[in-house]
Amino acid sequence: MSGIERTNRPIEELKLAGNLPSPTGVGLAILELTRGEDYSMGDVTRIIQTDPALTGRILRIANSAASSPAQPITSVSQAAMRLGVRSVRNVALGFSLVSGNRSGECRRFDYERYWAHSLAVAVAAAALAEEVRGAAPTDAFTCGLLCEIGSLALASIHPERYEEVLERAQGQGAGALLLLEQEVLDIDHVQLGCALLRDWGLPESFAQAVAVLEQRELEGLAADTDKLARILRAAHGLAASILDSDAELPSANELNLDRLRLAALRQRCRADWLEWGRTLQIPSKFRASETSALPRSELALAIPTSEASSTNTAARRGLRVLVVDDDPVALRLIALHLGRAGHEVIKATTGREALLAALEHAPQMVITDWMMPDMDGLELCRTLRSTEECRGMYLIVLTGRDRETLAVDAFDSGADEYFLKPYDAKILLARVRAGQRTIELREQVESDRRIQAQQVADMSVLNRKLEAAAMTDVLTKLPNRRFAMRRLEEDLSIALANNTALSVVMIDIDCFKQVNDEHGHGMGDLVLRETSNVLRSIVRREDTVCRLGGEEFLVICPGANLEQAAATAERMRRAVAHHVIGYGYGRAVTISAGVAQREEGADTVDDLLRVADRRVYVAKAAGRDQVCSEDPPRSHARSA
Amino acid sequence: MNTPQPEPVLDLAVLAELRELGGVSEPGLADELLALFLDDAARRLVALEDALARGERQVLMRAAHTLRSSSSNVGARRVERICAELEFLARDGEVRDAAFKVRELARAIAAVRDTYGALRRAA
Repeated sequence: MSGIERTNRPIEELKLAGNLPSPTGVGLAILELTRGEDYSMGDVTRIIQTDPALTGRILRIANSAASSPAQPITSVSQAAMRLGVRSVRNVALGFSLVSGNRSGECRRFDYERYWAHSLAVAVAAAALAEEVRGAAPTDAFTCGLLCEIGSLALASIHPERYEEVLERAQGQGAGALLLLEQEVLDIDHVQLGCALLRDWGLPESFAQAVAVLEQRELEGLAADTDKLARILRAAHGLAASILDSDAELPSANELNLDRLRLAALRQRCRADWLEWGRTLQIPSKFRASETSALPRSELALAIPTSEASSTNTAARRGLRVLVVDDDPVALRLIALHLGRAGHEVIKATTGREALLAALEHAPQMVITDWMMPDMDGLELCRTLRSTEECRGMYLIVLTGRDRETLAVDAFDSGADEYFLKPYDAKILLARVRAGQRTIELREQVESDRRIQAQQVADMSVLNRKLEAAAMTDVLTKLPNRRFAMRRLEEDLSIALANNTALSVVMIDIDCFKQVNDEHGHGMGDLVLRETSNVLRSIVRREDTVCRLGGEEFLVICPGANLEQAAATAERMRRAVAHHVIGYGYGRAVTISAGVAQREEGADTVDDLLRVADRRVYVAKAAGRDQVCSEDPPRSHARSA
Repeated sequence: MNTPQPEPVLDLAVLAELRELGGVSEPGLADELLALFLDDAARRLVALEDALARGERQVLMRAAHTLRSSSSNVGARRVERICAELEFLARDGEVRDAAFKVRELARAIAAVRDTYGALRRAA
């Protein structure tokens, strides 16, 4: 069942789970602004210019894609004029995804390597696009950068389940990974990646090029999509040898580049990749043994990082406490008491040092002196409270009995607790214990929230399974009529919007009633199942075979014209006729097929089905076991 | 703040508490804390003199405040008292009086060093 996700409903559900990779900051603003069609160049450039880093990256790519280096591009609007505002929008989106999704919870997924690899594909795709002049280099770059976004998305939404998938898929091919993803998550990274690209309003050709990345054959793609798909694949082949200069060049490439050209390209891409890696702060320390030569999806498989799961260590055990005091004696004494009570202590002697330590060690509690040079205790509290990572820390302020240090100021600055020096160690520890209860409560709330988000995510898996069930024919496991109609509607509107080809093949098993009558319904079911399997094994990935009911099937072929769809139909006819069904039946059945394509005057679902249906009858009338893709002269058509 | 009787340079009761706190697991604790204190006090003294020269009351006050807290922790009673007076002067008093206090403080810190050294030799 390829691509039940084409409706964006799963995306909407997954969004609720809250962890989908998504553009951040400026990228999000661009996405919002450009949801519709009516945005101007000025709108986009204005937003991009608010982010100097992004501006720099856009100019960089604009200049590397410019064919005449005599005129360097120095502004975003120049870049938009040169590259087109859409390309600029798309690449800006791509960059904002890189900067916002650099780490995550899935321990078997290596986020850094993922981006390093994606960047290599991007750089290679841009260079190849320029080399063979098949696509806009900027678009190729963006498409390359996001071509495996589905894997990242799966790791983000279902970190634990995806860990299991990656573990089980280790050492097996790319196909096994896709199957496992389907089995465990009911969606695979190719489907999800395509859905995300569509959701972000990136060109349909991007999604299609990504969809065929893992297939052996390219067929029936529109010319420009086909070119982009070939570039993307070749870039994929090159990526491994870019990540490691010792790796071998890919032996074959679809773009018919000779090895010398390829070697030169690799050299250039590697330099580009290192440059971009520095710009985007993506490490470049990978070796061939770690990256490719394996099926491509293996690339994302990572050695599990031994990051201790430090989140739940608070319960019944010691806390991680940051103690801040510019008085070394007081610092030593507090650390001594806390250490003896079983807490882990991090020490800092100034406010700034404390801030760094808080970010680095993520303590659960901070005990700070009030009066300190550079940054005093209250300023430290305010700063910690306004920092995302530190917002939940439990803050205690210590102070001497001074008239200007008032408890109310401490609480106003965000402190949870306040007490006076000199302190009694027993009371200090009692306050710390009280704080620990509060911390545990907070952590419980936080973990409940996480579990809830996970449940939403799990629910969406369940919903996808349920939806899949409602859309699946129980006997043949093919998508059913409901799905077929929905899918055809969508594919048709995409084809109309992009003015691309779309064809359908209507199929009917010949003399099926006879099978039922002579051998019983059990044999009839068997014939249906076997025939379904044959049909399914023949079509391209982007084609969808559905069982409409009875012995009637429909194949939807987006991107295929009449001739291509007829060729597919003919392959199916031959395969069915040669497939001897066993189990006591002992022979093959045959099918009759009618092919129709979207064209002027026949551009609704009903039109397509009517024409295809009519041609099935023509095929039947002409003796069965054949494909009909044109209407006979009028008189014959009537008699059929 | 004026104490008629001179206070001890080092409060032996506090020292005893620190030894007890160190116990068998950290027998060197009292020595370590005294060393920390003397080291820190020497640096604060320099900071105090600088602040005095520049007339920076705020810095003067902060340094005196911190030193008062650490001296109280090790039982350096004289240093503690002088720091409290210095803090007060830095806030509301004459800078000239503060200069006098800083010299008194330097002598008190030296006295802590000597007294503690003598105590250790005697032990």
